[in-house]
Amino acid sequence: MSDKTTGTSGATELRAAEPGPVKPAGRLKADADLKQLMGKYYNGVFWAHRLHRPIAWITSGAPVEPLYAMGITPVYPENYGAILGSRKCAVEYCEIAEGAGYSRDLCSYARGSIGSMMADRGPLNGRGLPAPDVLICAKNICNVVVKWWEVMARHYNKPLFILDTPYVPEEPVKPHQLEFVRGQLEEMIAFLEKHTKRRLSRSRLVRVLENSTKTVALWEEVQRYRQASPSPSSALDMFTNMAPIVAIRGTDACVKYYRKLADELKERAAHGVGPVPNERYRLVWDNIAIWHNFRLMKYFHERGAVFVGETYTNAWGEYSFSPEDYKDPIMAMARQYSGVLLNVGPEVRLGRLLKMARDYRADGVVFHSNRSCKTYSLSQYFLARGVQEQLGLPTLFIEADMTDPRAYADAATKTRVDAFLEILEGRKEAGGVGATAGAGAGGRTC
Amino acid sequence: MLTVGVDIGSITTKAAVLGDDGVVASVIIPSGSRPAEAAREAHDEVLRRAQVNDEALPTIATGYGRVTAPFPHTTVTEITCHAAGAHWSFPQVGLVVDIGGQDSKAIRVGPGGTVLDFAMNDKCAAGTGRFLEVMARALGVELGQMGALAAGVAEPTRISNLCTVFAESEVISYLARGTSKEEIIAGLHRSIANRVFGLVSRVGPRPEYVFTGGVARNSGVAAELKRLLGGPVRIPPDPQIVGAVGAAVIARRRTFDAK
Ligand code: SF4
Repeated sequence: MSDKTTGTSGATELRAAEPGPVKPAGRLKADADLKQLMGKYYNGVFWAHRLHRPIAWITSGAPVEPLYAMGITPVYPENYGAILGSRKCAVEYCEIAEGAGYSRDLCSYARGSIGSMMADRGPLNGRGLPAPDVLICAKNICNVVVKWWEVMARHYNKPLFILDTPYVPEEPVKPHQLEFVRGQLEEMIAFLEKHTKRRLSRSRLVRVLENSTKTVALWEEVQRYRQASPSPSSALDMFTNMAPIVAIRGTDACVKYYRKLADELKERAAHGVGPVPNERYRLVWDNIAIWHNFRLMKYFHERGAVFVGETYTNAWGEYSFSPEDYKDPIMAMARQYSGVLLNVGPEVRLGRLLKMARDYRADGVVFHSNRSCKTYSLSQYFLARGVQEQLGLPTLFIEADMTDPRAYADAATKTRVDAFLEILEGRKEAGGVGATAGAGAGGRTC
Repeated sequence: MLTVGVDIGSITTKAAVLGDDGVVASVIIPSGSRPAEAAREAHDEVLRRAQVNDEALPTIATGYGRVTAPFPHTTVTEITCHAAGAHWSFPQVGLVVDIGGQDSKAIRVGPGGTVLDFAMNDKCAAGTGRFLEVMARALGVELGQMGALAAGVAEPTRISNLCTVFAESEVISYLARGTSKEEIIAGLHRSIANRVFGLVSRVGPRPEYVFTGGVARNSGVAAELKRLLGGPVRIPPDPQIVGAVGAAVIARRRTFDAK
């Protein structure tokens, strides 16, 4: 049934001779460390003010390295939005924002976080996130964040810096754009120095960048093990495991964590252990996770389908720096933070997606059409066409929202998933309904 | 050899028995509030009509109630079944447009009746059979007459609302303004066709076009669809049972394959 012999690494070939495991792998051992690590991060966030550490509320695409180098605690309202989603309480907070007049068409991370801020309530310690001293908003992911950050800055009456990153229709980023973003970054650093009364030391910045690079290399290593069959992990594991690379990238603890995770996946790949041992369909996921519904992922697993790659988790493999970069770290950051997934043109995105589908030997691509995130969802039909035409792979669209379950219909979605798996199965069998075709000819034409 | 297909939809449940020479018997009943019971009833009735008494015939259930069907069966989604059913009537089929009670879909079909791609509208009743039912009631006409009533209309009324509830008030306000029922009906047909054409564009139009589902009985929607697609649209003799027939076709294929 499953193509266990088609693995690319020696480890998979070795395994083909052994009887395959039948029981799906449980949770990763590293999950316990992850819980501890993120718990510690949020403790640090809630304690920051008492320890006289300034807090900056920043966007997920903003350069975090200067903050860590300056001893500023970064807080991610987007990550908080995802937490509201996975703890299944997003609707409660979204409704507070909706009651205040925010449209349901607005990104649900924004609605959830604004609702929590307005009520000063939340699932982490009963209250909302601790107030910011400064706010940093990078425009390289969407335009929603600009207004969202303005709302929060007004609410707390704290200074806001908007880092403008021009759109990059095609790579490489043009020199004049890089110059512009470098200027922006220098202004951002001056802004932080002024408002937090801390200075940025270049050598500390380089040390943080080195850690970011190590983290990214480990993250890529983690992803690479998923080229094995069966894949040692699925989207479920990766969505939860991306929290450190988003929030504490650049710290020693982050490097240590991903070393451990990489070792565990290496071990799993070598022994043919994974969440879907009888792997039949290998899939790639596009867009943010459906945080409130990990059950849907399990629905795929139970039917022999596993996600071997996600454009979302993959996007964090982009922040790596070379020794050459350390000579001019600001310029290097300008380059990295301009070329992020949501700031590049659809052609560039398609190229990255096709490469991933090929590298991970995908049988199909699943697009989560995410009602919240317009930047992410907008070019998906173009991408799907590219996948169909250039790789001949089938695609599936799932309509949902990353945290708001009100935009999701379970039975209808499962029918689509089933139909998609039937397409994949039909391709594996390469048969057809030819035997009886035409027997019922008749009917009318209009 | 006989096989059975049962399509348990949101509004109606359809069943068909397929033999070597074609459909032996078929039945359409309302699904009501208990889909499992409707499935049982349709299944028993179609066997009775086919004059067979054999629970063990190869049976496939499809439609939204497929999992709960209370008789021995395997399940296949309505998307795959509609493709198989349309291909069984029209072997050259390239695209199926299906408009049922509560969803509409466009299915791109490849050689052998396999599904290549599909797009569905399944979270909203606009542009489905339910939509037409609501409008027929608002206009005080029979659902089955709508096609004929709209036939001679040169200028269909422009229905701008996508939402069933809002479109209903829009229809009522047109009536109050003195717009003729015929023009409004033609406008409704156009709005349904436009909406499903959006799904067609997503998967890519590909002749030959086959129109299935209860709404395919409405000649007005079919004519609008033909205009949008720019080519002939084929309609099976009983467009409502295509899913059930497709299920029986797949059951038949699987039985042959197994032998
Ligand atoms: S719209 Fe998308 S990119 Fe912007 S904040 Fe929301 S989820 Fe993030």
